[in-house]
Amino acid sequence: MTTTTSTRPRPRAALSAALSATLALSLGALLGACGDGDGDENSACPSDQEFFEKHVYGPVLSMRCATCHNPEGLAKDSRMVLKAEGEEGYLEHNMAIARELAQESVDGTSVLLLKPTNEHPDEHKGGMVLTRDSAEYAALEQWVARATGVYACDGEDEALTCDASGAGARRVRRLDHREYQRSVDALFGAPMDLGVSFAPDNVIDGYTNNAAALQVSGLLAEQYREAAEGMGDVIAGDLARYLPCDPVSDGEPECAGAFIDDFGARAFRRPVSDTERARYLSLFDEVAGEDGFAEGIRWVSAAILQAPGFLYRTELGQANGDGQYALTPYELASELSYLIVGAPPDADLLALAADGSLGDPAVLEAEATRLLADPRAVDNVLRFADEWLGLDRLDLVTRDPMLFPELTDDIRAAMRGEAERLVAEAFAGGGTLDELLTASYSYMTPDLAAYYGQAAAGEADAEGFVRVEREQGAGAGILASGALLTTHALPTSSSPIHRGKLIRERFLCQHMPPPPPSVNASPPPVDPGLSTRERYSQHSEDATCAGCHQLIDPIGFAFEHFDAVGRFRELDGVHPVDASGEILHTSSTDAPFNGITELAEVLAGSEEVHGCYVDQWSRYALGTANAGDLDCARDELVDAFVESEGRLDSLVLALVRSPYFRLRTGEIAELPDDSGSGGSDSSGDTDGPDSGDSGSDSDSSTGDDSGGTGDSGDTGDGMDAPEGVEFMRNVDSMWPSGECDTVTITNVSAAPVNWYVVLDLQGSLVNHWNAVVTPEGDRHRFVGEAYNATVEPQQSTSFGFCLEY
Amino acid sequence: MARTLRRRDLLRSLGIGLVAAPFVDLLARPRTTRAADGAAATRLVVFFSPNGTVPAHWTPEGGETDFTFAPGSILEPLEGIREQLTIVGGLDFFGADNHEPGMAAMLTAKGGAGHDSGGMSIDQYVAKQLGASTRFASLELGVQTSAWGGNTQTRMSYSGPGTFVTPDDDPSHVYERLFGDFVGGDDAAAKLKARRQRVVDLLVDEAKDLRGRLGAEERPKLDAHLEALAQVEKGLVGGGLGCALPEAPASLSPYDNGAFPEVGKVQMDLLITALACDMTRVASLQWSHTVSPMVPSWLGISEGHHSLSHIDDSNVAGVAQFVDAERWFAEQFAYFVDKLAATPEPGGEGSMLDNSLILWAKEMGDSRAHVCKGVPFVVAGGAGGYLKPGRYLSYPGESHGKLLVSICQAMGLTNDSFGDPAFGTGGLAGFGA
Repeated sequence: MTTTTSTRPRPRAALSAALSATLALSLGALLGACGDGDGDENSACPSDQEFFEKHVYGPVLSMRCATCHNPEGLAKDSRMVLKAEGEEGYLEHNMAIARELAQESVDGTSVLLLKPTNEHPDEHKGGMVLTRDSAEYAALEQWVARATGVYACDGEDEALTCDASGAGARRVRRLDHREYQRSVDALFGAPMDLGVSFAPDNVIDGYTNNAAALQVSGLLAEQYREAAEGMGDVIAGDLARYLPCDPVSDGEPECAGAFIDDFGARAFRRPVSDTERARYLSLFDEVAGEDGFAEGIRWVSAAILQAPGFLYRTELGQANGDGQYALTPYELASELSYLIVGAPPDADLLALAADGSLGDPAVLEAEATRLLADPRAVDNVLRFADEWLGLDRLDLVTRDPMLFPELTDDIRAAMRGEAERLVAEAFAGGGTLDELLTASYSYMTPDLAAYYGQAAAGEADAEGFVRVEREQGAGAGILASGALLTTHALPTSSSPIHRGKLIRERFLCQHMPPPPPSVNASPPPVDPGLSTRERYSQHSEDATCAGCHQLIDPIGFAFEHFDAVGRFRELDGVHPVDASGEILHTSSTDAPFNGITELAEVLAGSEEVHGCYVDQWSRYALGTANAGDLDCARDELVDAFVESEGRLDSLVLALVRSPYFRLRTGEIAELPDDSGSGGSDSSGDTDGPDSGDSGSDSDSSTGDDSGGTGDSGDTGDGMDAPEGVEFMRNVDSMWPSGECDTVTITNVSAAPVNWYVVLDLQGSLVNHWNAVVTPEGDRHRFVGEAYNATVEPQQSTSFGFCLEY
Repeated sequence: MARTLRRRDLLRSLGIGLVAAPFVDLLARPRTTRAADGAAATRLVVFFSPNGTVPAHWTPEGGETDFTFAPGSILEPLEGIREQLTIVGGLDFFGADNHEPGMAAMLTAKGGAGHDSGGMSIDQYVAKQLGASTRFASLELGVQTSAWGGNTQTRMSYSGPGTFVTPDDDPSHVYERLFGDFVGGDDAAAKLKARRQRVVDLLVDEAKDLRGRLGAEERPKLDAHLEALAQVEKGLVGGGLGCALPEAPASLSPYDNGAFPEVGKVQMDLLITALACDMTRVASLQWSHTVSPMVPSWLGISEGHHSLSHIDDSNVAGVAQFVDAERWFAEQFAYFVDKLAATPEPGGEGSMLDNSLILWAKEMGDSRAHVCKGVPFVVAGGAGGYLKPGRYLSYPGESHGKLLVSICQAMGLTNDSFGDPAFGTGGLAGFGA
């Protein structure tokens, strides 16, 4: 076998392997040596060692366990003492331990599963570090199955959600609250005050846009309703502004239809399907019949703004015949626009989707470049920085007003402005992670400069910020910003623990467990006789604490020149500050340093930190924390980041270029499994792949009158079906060079029937779904998939296809 | 806020007849899910405050009926409602220690999909059994629970394994949700309901269509959406509030640390009105969350609650500040209980408190040790005669899952386990009257 490290999804912890040619080679050799016939990198069934490295050691043991389970760690006396990555034979050593523990069980459950979930009868001193529903747990389960010999490789590499080419899973993403706000702002062409704040979403790894966590709860559905009804009022109150037509001269129903097409398409970011149009028109008719035109429009608007078409963006695609699904041009437009500017596609982008040209990778990339230059791209990256570094808590953190009266709301706002400018500057114009970390400059208002005790002269921007060379914390970029220093501190003092933990978790991507139970976790009381450093050092002397705190506190000490509210100090009380520190127990970042300037240099020069940054950004950009998802585009992202020497915007373009951006894999909708699926409702199942993906606009699809119907026997017009089956062909959308149709099959007999439909198609079949097709002379024979081949009496099913003329 | 909530008077004052009141015929308990006979509570409220306790300053002195609260102790502010209390000490969370695991286990007892309680928290479990007849199966109100978003630290209520129920932290929105429909008279309200119902029907069709296009992995998202729409539908009312419309709360900044007490009070008042109007019979009021950074500045304290909770005994002044903060929460609990005691049971006898079970829960025992052993619980109310309050009970080493079973029984339910049955089944001996 051959092993090509450039195409094999790499383990996350072995990022340095991706970045260092030598290590990559040795890793390749290691894997090459274990070839046993089924270990090829593209094989659906990796060898135990490959699986261990990629799914057990990489994302689980090295990230969740090794901080304590190392030769000097808190768990050094446990049976799981892991060798650090890069140490000779570390992988074999760690794999042997993991296998042994996997094979040991209590009441039928492996110790390797009981410990990290803290379900072991003797408990886990590190508490619960994994939940049972996590991807990591699933990987451990498979490892246990492998170690105990009950794992049967069924050809699926379950921990990976993308296929070998990098196509990701088909999914929907509910708009997060900020995307929702920007979407309505775009719809109305002005900032919209919703008058309601939505229930906060679940936060995963610090990010609020995790696709798995974004669901609609009862509470949120009520809040959506409140907001949508409010916006309906706005529209009904100024009809002339929002209607694309004149209800008097054009006719009320016609104008309502035009409004649904226009507003609906902008809200749904794709044309409205006929089914949808009919639904909203029927709502309009009912309301307008009772209360007039304006009320009808009001309720139609309110409904559109609560509809799944507005609230979710789809990444479902159309089957391309290779078991993959190509995202439609409209889906690409949304994906691109929300990725880069956090807002719905603008008119230009929608036009490129309408004529299909967005499917051309060159056009897609050109649009990405255009959007990157949009001012909103900076807002979007600021939001990432907020969640990556926790800066969004700046307004919320409490400080003792007696100790820190100078930290006014205005100063907090100025700190916010400072951080925004630092991030924007690093992101724009080809800035790098290095620049973000080591910038010698910052941006301050005169008040903020005075607060910091810093001179600030020069030309101020519109909001009064001047670019200044820092006198204190020079060369420490964002680490020296008041926003970061203040959010990571305590109400009455600085906090080496919070600041050290920030670096460990957000720059080194290492999970720090909470203090174990039964340890005295009392924070060292403020004692004027001791410096903060001394208080924390004494506190962590206890051997039980030292295992973890040696990983945290010595990093945090580097920040000791900065107090709880971000101001430089030479003295901590009466004690001269000692800001020397050290990073320990990493794979390639271990180093001593003094102060945050040197810390920033260490971080900026670390491949491990670069890899962590790629992962942090991926979590945000892909909206997932699932290691399997993140692996889909990881190679491309890492390569681009390395090649561009850490350019922050390189990741955006690399993602857009990757197969992950355009392709999806996975099952399509299954057999309608219950009445709730709407599958047997012929009107409810007629959309097939995104109904808006191929039509230019829905007006051109009104040719649906051309749909044919058929019943038993050859109808003589090129259509054929078995006895007892009626079918109806409906043209969903039509444009100059093609059409997409849905065929609904109804069993009118008294017995279950295995249906088929033979059609004479005026064009070449480019796509189809929910049926298997075989050419039959000039015609095509469609039979059901396994899940809809049989139709019960009086029930219906449907399939669809698209043609090119 | 309306003071008097006797239903018949209120109905008359609003000029609407009994027929228009949507819930009047629903006051009868749903019989099918309840034990055939016996005393039981009408409503359940969970009251949460964070970061464990200091057992030495919490534990009452004396025995079951002659217990006393030491001067300066955490529970001393409950002296005035002593005769309404069933204090339960000594219980352990089995298989959980520390902040987040404690928060997750507190109301679930680590139940999973395969257990009787289905991984639900006790409020959601009870709501599922008893919530069908009221406008809201349950209400979740919060006080600064969500500045950190939703995660294991900030959520205590679960509708299933790992699925959080989000509390509403904004009193203005709570008011809108409860009372926003009652404008413009009954006809207008009925029309509004019909319109909203029509939109919900349309949205259900749209959601089903999207669901049909998804693979099995993604369908639960749309299932959740459809469930949410069902809840919206249930909450639609067509007129006839049946009790006085309270004044809208003053505009408050829900996440301003200094507004914590005021937000809390408004939420308590709104909750009592919702209960008195029988909009729901199951509710929770969650004050902040575990690892809470809230600073009790109104008590002259400048340290965060989480830090305070971990101060060890060598720092006497620091521990005293934590005890002060805990006494403040006890005062809030007493306010809530007092107010329920002062509210007559609508259409029934005695006070609402007599027919309620109020559970003050915490997520840890001794917070300095990060353990969930000896976790303190305080129950208030007569539970419709199921409880004989004025008692202090201690169950050292028993699973708190048994308390949750006992609470189910107090609500008239018949389940024999709650949470993971491996930790024990049945209720606490001697908990009921």
